[in-house]
Amino acid sequence: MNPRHSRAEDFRRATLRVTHHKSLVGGIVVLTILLGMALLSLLFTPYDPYAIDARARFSPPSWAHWFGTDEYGRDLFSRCMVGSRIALGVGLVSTLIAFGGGLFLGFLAGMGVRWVDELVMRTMDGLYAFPALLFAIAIVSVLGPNIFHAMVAIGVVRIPIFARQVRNSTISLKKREFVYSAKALGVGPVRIALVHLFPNLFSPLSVLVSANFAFAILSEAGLSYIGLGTQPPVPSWGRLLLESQRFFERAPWLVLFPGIMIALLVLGFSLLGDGLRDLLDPKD
Amino acid sequence: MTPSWFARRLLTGLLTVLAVSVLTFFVFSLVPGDPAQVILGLDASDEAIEALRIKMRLDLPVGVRFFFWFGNLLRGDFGDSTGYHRPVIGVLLEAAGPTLSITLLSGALTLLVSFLLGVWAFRKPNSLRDFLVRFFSQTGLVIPSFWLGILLLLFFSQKLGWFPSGSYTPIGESPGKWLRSIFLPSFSLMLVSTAILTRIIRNALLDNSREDFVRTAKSKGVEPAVVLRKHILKNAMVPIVTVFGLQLTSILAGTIIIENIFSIPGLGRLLLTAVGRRDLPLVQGIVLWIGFFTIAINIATDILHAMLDPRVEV
Repeated sequence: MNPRHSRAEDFRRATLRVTHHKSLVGGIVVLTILLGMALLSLLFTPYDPYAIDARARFSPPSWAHWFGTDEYGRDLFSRCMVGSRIALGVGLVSTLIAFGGGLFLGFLAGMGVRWVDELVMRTMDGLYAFPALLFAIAIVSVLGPNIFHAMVAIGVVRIPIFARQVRNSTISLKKREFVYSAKALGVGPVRIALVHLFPNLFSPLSVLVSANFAFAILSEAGLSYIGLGTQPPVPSWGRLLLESQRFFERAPWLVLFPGIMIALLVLGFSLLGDGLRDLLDPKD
Repeated sequence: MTPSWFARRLLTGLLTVLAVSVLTFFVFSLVPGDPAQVILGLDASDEAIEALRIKMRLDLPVGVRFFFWFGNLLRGDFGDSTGYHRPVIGVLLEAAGPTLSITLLSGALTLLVSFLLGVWAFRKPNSLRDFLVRFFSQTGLVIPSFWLGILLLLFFSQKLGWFPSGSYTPIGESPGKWLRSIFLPSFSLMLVSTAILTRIIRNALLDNSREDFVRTAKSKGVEPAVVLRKHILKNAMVPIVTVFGLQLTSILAGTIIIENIFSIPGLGRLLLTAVGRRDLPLVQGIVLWIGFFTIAINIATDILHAMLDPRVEV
């Protein structure tokens, strides 16, 4: 680091580098708003998302009910707020599973001898051949439909994507000079892994994490839409679409808003991913 | 593409088939309780359950059971559906037509539209049309295909009545009706794929048009149309083929939900019916089939890739 730069100067430069990337900023803004909605829903929603109000059935969007109300007079905006919490929760848990599993298996394959590498990677190829939704349906059909099984299935099926990236980076890092020098200096294998390899694995993974959130959210919405994800009365966005589809003529807003919420959240992660890729790979 | 590369690729493909089978077998062996009891119900006699246990080889260790099961798979025996009381393979084949139709039509539409948009944008980079195409790529990517499907169904089919809803006509019966019965589902599935592929085509064309061999061809006085076709497009095809193969597999997976929205009697609808009835042999059969199809698409993509670019023999 150049000693002439103060901390404040470093911070200013870092901020400048981030704000330079429009999609990164856009992604952060969209995600902050939706994350805010999700967190706020833990403490406060404009109406009770489960409260039935017979007088307010099928109210169109208005100042009182921003997204309108459903067939029981429940406030759709409040329900969508709870839905954002579920979507982000599913994204977080399944990404943690995919990330953790991928890091472990990929590192094992990258550091291990030839047959370990082959065994792990061929199993990963097999897992990767399953469309995620299909694997999730298989798990849910065996263990029973609930959101926990869905999250695990969506996470497990994405392990190969993380494992492949970790394996490839590990193998290329292993051959780098700083690792050889460390070895020559007598640094042990565990310390090499923790100090020299791990920190360098994370930056390409951040792009995958962002993409995985988008993917998990779409999968959960799809799974809940066919009735195999979240179960009633929990208002996940996919579930809201499933329940309101038959009222389309009377209340089209019930079909529009949950879909827009899904698209917005996916857009947030997609922009964030694009931005991170630009930020980390200046060549492109 | 050397014969040894080809053989190796087929071999890894077969290993993947094995891995998919092991994983599927493993998932379905997680079933809580005794499978024989589940199939026969709670009122079954102990003798009947014991007989079925032996027939299903449940008395053998799980590893040994896998080899019996896998041997049957190789002979085309996927077991018997407990809901339809006949072999899974027959039930599967009856439902494969609609799924295949939607996947192929959606794939064809994706190719057509992506090429039109990608080449159109490439001809004038950073212009208004390029901006519009890039905007489409970004928005198309985030719209959930099943949500688009719901909107299209409700609007074009139920409200306006332009397309039939809840029916499928086989192509052999009437090609026109066939097209109408699968157009909306195919269109819903193509949007995301088209958004991705359009971006890839535009970028691949732009990257290759800056290469030295293009400058050389142009300075030799080669016609612009020939430069595009023979020099730029030919080299750009490599990433395009790879991404298209991936998109085709995700279209195939997308049919699961889309068929249920449009009530198309394909594998996806059969899958949900089977899940609802807890017809696990049928669920297992469909999962395996879609998995095997995905592997076949991946192998085909790699072979095409190696044919286009002899350097890449991965």
